[in-house]
Amino acid sequence: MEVNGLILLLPLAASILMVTFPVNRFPFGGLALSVTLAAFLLTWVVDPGSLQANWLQSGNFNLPLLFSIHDLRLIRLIIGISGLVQFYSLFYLSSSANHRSYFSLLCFFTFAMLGLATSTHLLVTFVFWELVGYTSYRLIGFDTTTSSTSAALKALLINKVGDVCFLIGILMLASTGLLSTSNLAPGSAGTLPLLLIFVGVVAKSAQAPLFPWLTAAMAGPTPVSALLHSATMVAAGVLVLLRLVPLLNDTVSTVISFTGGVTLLLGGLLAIFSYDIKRILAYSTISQLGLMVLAIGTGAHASGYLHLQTHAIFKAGLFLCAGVFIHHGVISGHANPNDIRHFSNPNGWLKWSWVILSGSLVGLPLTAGFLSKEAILHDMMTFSASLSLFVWASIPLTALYVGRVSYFLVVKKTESSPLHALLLPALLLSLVSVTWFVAAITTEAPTGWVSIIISQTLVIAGLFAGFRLARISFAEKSWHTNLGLDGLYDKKMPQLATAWGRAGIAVDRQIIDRLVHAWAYITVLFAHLTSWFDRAIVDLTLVGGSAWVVRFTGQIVRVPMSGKVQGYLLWALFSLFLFLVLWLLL
Amino acid sequence: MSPVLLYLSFLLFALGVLVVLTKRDAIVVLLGIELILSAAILNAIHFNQQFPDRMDGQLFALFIIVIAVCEAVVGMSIIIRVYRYYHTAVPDQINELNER
Repeated sequence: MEVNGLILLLPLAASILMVTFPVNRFPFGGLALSVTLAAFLLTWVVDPGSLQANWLQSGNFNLPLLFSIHDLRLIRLIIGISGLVQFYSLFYLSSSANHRSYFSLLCFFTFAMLGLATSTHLLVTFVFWELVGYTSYRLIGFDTTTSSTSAALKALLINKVGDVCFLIGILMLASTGLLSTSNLAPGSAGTLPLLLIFVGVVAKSAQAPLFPWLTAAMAGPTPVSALLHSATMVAAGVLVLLRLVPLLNDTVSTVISFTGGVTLLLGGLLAIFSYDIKRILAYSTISQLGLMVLAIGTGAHASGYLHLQTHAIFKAGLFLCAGVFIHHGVISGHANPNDIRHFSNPNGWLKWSWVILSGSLVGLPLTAGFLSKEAILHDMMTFSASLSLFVWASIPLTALYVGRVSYFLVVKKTESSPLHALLLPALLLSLVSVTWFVAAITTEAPTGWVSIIISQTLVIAGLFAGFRLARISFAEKSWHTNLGLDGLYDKKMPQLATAWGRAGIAVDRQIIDRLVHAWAYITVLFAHLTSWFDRAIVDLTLVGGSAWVVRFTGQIVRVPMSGKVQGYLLWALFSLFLFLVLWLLL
Repeated sequence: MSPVLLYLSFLLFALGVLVVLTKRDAIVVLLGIELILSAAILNAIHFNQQFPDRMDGQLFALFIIVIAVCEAVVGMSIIIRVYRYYHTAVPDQINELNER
């Protein structure tokens, strides 16, 4: 059990250590890499089970830290891809960059993502969800240029919309006591909390219409895009959705399916029109996440989960390949290193790993993507034939943009630069993709030969169409980037907010201020009245009066109390005289 | 029975009271008290004249003279003690009871 906790705590400890490390010149990357490697090796030592600790206990409310270390494959994926990306970053980052904060953020991200993937209590999940969002925000703005800072802010704000909805949904679920995801009863939650949580998923997993932040997030360093914005973090929404599968009812499932389906096609469509490699891959990520969401919404959650894992491998690999191209372009001094038209291929190995990984993306045999895609297709056909039309449409679409990009990257001539260390992670990931296929084809082989044959035909047709399409050059139109939603989020939303603020000011000045003034006037008037009452009645009459009465009586009573013996004697004689007179008279 | 003695005793009594009330010195006050006692003696003798066969008034007068002497002695000694203690025999100036 202690080992289980260690997997989570090692990256966190490394991150804190790096932030507080007293020396500036230190191989932070090496430290991060060794810690991640240690955590990766630890996954073979752990005994699968759950990890529990009490965090907060107050009355009836109990917030346990619940972690389920069951799905070791997912944990290994997260740690493994983190490690590869850290290795890659060692060579990718310029030496002038702030290695300390970069690698501590990467380690912190590993911790947060592991926590998010293993926690089985929704509130704890939300904490990690926010931590992951925070690292994403920091890493997008890592370059601290104006554009990357505004991109980071955009990602943060759009995600925050989802986060707030997510939190409200969680709190609504909390009132029904459904926070621990290990014992969810089907159909016991209402529709609204699930829809609110789904809004959080939409924002985090970049579904329509909240996807523009993901393309903006490409402003971050390419390894970060590979780790956070394609393989792991954006899959967090899908992971949460998977936890909630037992709760879904028909309405929610339909909403989820259609959101996923629309995103699937939209992402694929937008990927066709871009020349920016990172943006194409971002659209592809959006599209594939849409596929997962669609699968979960339809009920094919097992295959959706499988696709999440295979997608993490091949998309991280594709980004790392793209990083090599971009790095090469930067070194060669291109003005626009992200543009696929300017790419030149530095090494033959890169070509092959790109081919394998993009083959995995379109679902060609011999790759892991084939397993998950055909599984989704098969499951979708069983559960809902009409919704599977989305998937059928997406298959040639995916092949189309993959073929178009691959034409620029692969078909061009290859320089024979020596094998650079940057290539290794991508090669390793393509190797994993193939090994996965080989290892799983006997046990998890997809069934349904007809659909396999049809889909493979569509893929190949799409690829060839993509090769043709690559030769047609066209100008980028405004709707090609994010469907013009950028204008909505960047201009209309601030305008709306400003207008809302102005209206608020008007209401403030015209109504609230006047009310306040009127109230102040009434208060002052009342204060004058009470002060008059105080002075005239209380002070003068009651207090002054009683004081006067006491003083007057005192003065009278004081007269005989002179303290002189003879005075007392006189008074004694006087009273004797009085008694005598009385005695004589009566 | 002539009321001369009564007038005389009234005069003595009034003078005594006046002395007691107005004089500041305790010794003079004591003198005033003696005057009042004299008035009382005169009264006792005067009213005894109504009963010629009895001697009560005269005897009482003798007792009063004795008592007056005792009273004078006690009073004088108190006054002397007070004078020694306070360095004054004026009652108005003696307004403290605590020890010095």
